[in-house]
Amino acid sequence: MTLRSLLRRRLLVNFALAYRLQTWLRLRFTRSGQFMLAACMLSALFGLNTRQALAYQVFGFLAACMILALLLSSRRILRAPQGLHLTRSLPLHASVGACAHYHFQIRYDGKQPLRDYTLLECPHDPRPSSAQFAHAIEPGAHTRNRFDRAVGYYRWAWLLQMNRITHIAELPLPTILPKQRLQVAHRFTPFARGNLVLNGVLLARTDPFGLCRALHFIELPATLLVLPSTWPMQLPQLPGKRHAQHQFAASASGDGEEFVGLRPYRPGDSLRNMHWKSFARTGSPVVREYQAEYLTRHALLLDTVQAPAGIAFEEAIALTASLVTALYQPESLLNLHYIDTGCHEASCGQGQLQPEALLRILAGLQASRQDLLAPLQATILCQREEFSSCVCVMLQWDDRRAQFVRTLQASGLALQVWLIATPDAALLPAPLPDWVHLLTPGKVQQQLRMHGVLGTDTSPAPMPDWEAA
Amino acid sequence: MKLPPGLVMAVLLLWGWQSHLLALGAALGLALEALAFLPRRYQGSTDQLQVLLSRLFWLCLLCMVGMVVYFLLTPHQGLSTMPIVQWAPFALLPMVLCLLLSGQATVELRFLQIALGQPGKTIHTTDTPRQINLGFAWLALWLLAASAAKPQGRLFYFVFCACAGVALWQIRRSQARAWWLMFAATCALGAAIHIGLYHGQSVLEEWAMDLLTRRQQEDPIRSQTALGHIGQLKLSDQITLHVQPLSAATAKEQGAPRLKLPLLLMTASYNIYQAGVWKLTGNNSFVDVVAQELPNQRRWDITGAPVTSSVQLLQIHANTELRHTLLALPAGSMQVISNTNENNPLSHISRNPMGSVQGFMTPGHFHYLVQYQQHASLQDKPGAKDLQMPEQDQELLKNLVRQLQLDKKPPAQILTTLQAYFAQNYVYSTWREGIQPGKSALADFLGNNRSGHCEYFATATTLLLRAAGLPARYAVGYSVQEESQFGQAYLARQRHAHAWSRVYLDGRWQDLDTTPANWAELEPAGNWEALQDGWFWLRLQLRQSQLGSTLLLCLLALGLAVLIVPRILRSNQQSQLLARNQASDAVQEKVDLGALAEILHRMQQAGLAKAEQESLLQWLERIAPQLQADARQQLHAIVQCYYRARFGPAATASAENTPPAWQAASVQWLAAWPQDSACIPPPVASRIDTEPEDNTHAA
Repeated sequence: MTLRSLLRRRLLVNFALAYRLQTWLRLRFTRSGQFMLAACMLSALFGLNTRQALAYQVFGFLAACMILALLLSSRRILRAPQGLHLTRSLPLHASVGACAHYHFQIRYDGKQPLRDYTLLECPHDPRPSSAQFAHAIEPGAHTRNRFDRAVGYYRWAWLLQMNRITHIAELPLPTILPKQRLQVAHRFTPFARGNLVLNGVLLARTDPFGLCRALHFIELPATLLVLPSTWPMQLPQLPGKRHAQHQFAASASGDGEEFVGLRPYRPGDSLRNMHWKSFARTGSPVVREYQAEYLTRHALLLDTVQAPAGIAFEEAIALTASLVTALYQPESLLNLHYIDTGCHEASCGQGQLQPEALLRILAGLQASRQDLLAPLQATILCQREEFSSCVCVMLQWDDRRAQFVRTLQASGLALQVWLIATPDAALLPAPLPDWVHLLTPGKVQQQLRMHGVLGTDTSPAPMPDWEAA
Repeated sequence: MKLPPGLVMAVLLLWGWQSHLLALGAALGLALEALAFLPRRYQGSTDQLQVLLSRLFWLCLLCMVGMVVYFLLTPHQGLSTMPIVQWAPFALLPMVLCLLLSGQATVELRFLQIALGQPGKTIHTTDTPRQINLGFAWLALWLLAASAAKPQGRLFYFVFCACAGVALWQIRRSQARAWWLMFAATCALGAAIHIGLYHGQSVLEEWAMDLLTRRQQEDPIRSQTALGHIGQLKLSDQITLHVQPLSAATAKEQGAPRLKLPLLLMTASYNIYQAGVWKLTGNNSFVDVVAQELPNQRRWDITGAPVTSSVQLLQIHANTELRHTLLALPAGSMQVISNTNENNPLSHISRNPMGSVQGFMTPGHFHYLVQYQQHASLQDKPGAKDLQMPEQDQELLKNLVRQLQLDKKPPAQILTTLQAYFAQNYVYSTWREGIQPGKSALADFLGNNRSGHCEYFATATTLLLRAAGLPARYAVGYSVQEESQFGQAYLARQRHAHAWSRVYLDGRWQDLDTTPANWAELEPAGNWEALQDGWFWLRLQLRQSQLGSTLLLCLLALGLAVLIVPRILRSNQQSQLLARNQASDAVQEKVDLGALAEILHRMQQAGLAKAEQESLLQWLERIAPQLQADARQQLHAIVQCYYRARFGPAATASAENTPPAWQAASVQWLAAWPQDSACIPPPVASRIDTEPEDNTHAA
């Protein structure tokens, strides 16, 4: 183990400890309490010599404030209210940048009215793991000085934010009377995708000065998937050609007119297709089967092979999610090819998954260190005859990728390539064709707007009504 | 930035009062309060306000840096941070004015990011921006600035509590009654804490001083005085010297003579004063004094003068943690004597020209005898340095000499004039306020404060004597002025450490102590003084006795024996009693069993022995399968009867008067079941096969 890795590990431990301390201070003390604590320490510093200044008297008062506030806010004095029942109703999912609303149902069977209580959400520990810390690249990392890069505080802070997913503000509760049932609305805005795991809530009440809080944990586990942000992209209509669908065929996709054969009835088959003669002859229902309809298929390739977690990765996810939203048509199929622990494929449209399912997949996608580029490219190349077009979102550019893109182009596919990489890194390994859209990490939205594929509205696109579509 | 009306004014008045700038504080407070009534407000957007604040932040920072540099470069301020703290709120005034004029109650801290941030440095989230009321932080800074002033009176705490209370009322979250209760408790606890801290520092200082004085001997070359020390000067009550006056060889028979108090015992003297430090310059080397070896005694003649009949004798006990220390000697000391047949005698001594005598010994308790005579002189003749004065205070001293007309008076009258002058115009005090800026500690004492401890008086007297043309030196040591409660002796405690002047008059060095005579009474004794004295006396007695540490060890052993032996005896008694009880139980059982013992014996022979720990009933249950049914029932009845007789309620009465029933039953049982007939014979395989009837019969 090198000295650098040892130092990094030590720093990580220190960051984690500092975060714990910060969390404890944030939860245990109100903002006024934190201010008082700081003032107390400052007065202690200046009041060290009681013969020189009166600061020790200030310290005496502030220390008394904090001691009494801590005592009076201990759980033995401010006990947990009996008979309080809480349930939380979360939405099905939330999206990055879009305000999510939810509410608490409160039932109180106690005898004394509950006043001055506050609810604090208790999310899962967001501290990044050492592996996550080692391979992540935070936004603006290339602009930092050597010391900042070595210490990695900004990376830690960014990973902490990404893992936190959202900041849920404190929720002051109204006075709750005995036997009362009420519903309290709350909201939050996620700033990162992923699973938001909530362990429970902390019911807090402050001392009379409002400096320290007594905290009572109420177990209320819940998980909410936060979908990646989607931008309102206006892509030109992709060229399509009709291909026969094979394994994708489904009863709901619509039938053709060419008779294929007879088969036993399956629930959901239309009565119009019932072959009554065979039914009469065999005694069991038999239906006519027709040749399935031809349809258009598009491939969407997300190439995150060996890409580090970072702003580029996040923007590639957001761009892919936006492309899913933009490319989706109910009468065509959209195949998403991506890598996670392995090489995967998911389809939406024409009797397959809803696009929301693809966004769910993207919400949970993590950076992979495995070199799965070859199988990913092979999957596309094998099925290239079935695709009408292919959209690639890439994070790196090299000879292998250049060769792959040329092969796709040669096969006559309509091709769009979006490469998110710094220009220097992109130009070094292989020449970049003119038609590859190069986007700079951290400036993807601006550059998409410059390309004219993004609306001027910077707010995240509202989630389309997939069912209606 | 919104604050409760009147709070800014109150806080600024408090600051002005503490900083002796009441007018400035009042004017500023009034102006800031008046801003609330100004009809026009800053009309810019929030973003514009943030940008403006970010610029003002740099301006404030510049002001703060300028202030720090100014205070650090100002000569009389030194490196003290207190003036910086005191004036720090002024540096933030531009930002505060901006916030007051904006009329916004709270403000985002985004301006700090704008001021300090670089592109890409900040982590952007969609968190709701944090809004804070900077007004309270600014007021807290004012309060801290007010508290940076030097302590004066006790009103500050109450005014501070009132201001803090108003601020706390604004952020309260509960009902008023609970708030008031907590506020009252906070004020009381806060007072207790700060009073405790104040006294705690005194105790800590005292302890540290003790530690230092115990570990360090008086420096014969340099004496750092406490001139200019602010605050309370306090030394401990620990006994440093135990002085016993003796009269030649017949001390024990005639009783010890009495001393004329106070008696000054000098350890060192110095001749040059520079900025609070007395030094010895010139020939400062110690020269060994030749010892005169006598039977059981070692004697050093430190003056060479002949011993006359008017000589006085002192026995001084002291303690040291070093291998050499300066001996405390009275003026006119001639000979130092050490008894070689006692513990820890002085091995040798040396002296310097200023009259300081250094003794060498093993660390620990030691004692020595000193012969002194009123008119003898230990120190050398005065030199030019004994008339030297510090340049800074020369003018002041000469003015004072002119004022007192010392230059026109004969030498003897100079001494009385000075003594009278200090007694009438100056007071003794161990508490010291701050010194006027630009003045030396001595000038402040002589011209302004006119109160101080012995070092002020000694330094001033020495320098005034020099200004009047008399050679004088500064001497340090102890002033013996307390009689011991245990035995006819005198004590010098650490708080009796003293400084005085020595003036060369009539061909010898004479002590002149101008410190007010009541100085020792003004230093209160501690609560545990009597206990400390008793302990010191006990240790002294032990050391003085020939047995010394052996006696102490014996006493300890005796004490331990007193504690341990009764316990050992008691435990022995208990074990003996237990053994006796067990033996008597065994005998009793043997006697009581009587015929039942015979049954047990027979059963043992039959291979059905009773185990030692088994009760009779347990044994019977165990062997029941091997007994004939009748024999078993009868034996069970006998055991039941035995139990009733022995442990039943009427056991004692029946046992004495009537013969036990189970005895007879046992005898009958023995007769009915001779040998091992009560036992079931063991089965034999061949017999079972050939004679099944017998087997059935036996069953």
